[in-house]
Amino acid sequence: MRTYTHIGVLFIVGALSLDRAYSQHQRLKSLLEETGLKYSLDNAKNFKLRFSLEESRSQEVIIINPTDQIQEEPIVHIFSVGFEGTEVPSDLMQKMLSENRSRKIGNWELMLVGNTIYGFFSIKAPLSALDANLLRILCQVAALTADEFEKEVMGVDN
Amino acid sequence: MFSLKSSHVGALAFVGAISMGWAQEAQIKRVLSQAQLEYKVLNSGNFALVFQTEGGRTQIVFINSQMEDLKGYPIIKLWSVVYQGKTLDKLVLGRLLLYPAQYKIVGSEITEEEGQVFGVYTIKIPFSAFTPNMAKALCEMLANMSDKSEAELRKGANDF
Repeated sequence: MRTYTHIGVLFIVGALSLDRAYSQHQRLKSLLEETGLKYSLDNAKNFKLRFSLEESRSQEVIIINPTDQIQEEPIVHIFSVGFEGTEVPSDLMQKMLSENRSRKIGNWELMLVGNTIYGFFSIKAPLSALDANLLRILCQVAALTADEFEKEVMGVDN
Repeated sequence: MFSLKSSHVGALAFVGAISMGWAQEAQIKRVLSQAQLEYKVLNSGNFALVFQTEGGRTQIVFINSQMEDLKGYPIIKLWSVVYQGKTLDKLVLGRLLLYPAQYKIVGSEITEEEGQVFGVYTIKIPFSAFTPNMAKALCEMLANMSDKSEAELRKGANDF
């Protein structure tokens, strides 16, 4: 069982005042507590959730501590890793991009960290649009989509 | 006496879907008008908005008039084309998947039509967040980002 919070640290690029950052973190934390989903926090205050899935599989979902904003509206970033490797074949990239078209929300994205390329299913939404029910749905969508991809493409359960 | 049959339910569902479609279209129009964004309604019913970008260039942002339903939450989709070709090489594929990851809210996808492959940047968010201010900011962000990628991937072309 692996954890991917080191990728989450790379997303924290916003420069918010401490007050605002704390308030946004608290808003998201309250919402997450309302969902009843269990989580832990990493050093960067990202939320880490693990979902138990069918066939004894599990999948980690990370919610980035919201520091990005559009029009002063905090953007919540939820992601789950489904691919990890030193290179990504073209047909796999095409698969990710084609799948994105059929997804109601969220997208496959790639990120290079050191020599490793991570493919993750990513959902981004303004914090004001989320209630506890929608937040739970989005976390589940991220977990199921990434795990399905990981199972099919990687054949493992990280 | 009127008795309800399954065919009636089907017809009612169809009428319901149409009226929901009209309602959604009207909701989107209202937000775009409040944001003072000029748009055209295409034959498909989708909205097209033209933005002036850097260096006298332009970029079209499309908004689907029909929203997706995510377990009762309407999801609105904005998109803008960045690439068109017969095939996609690794550079283009990598760009489409790596570049949006650095941005706050943008994703990407590909679609094929009449032997051509299109690379598209997208924004998919719950409609409840699509306020006039947010609509303006998202459309401008998508237009600028897409135009920049189009210029880089298509050797300065300004077709989209």
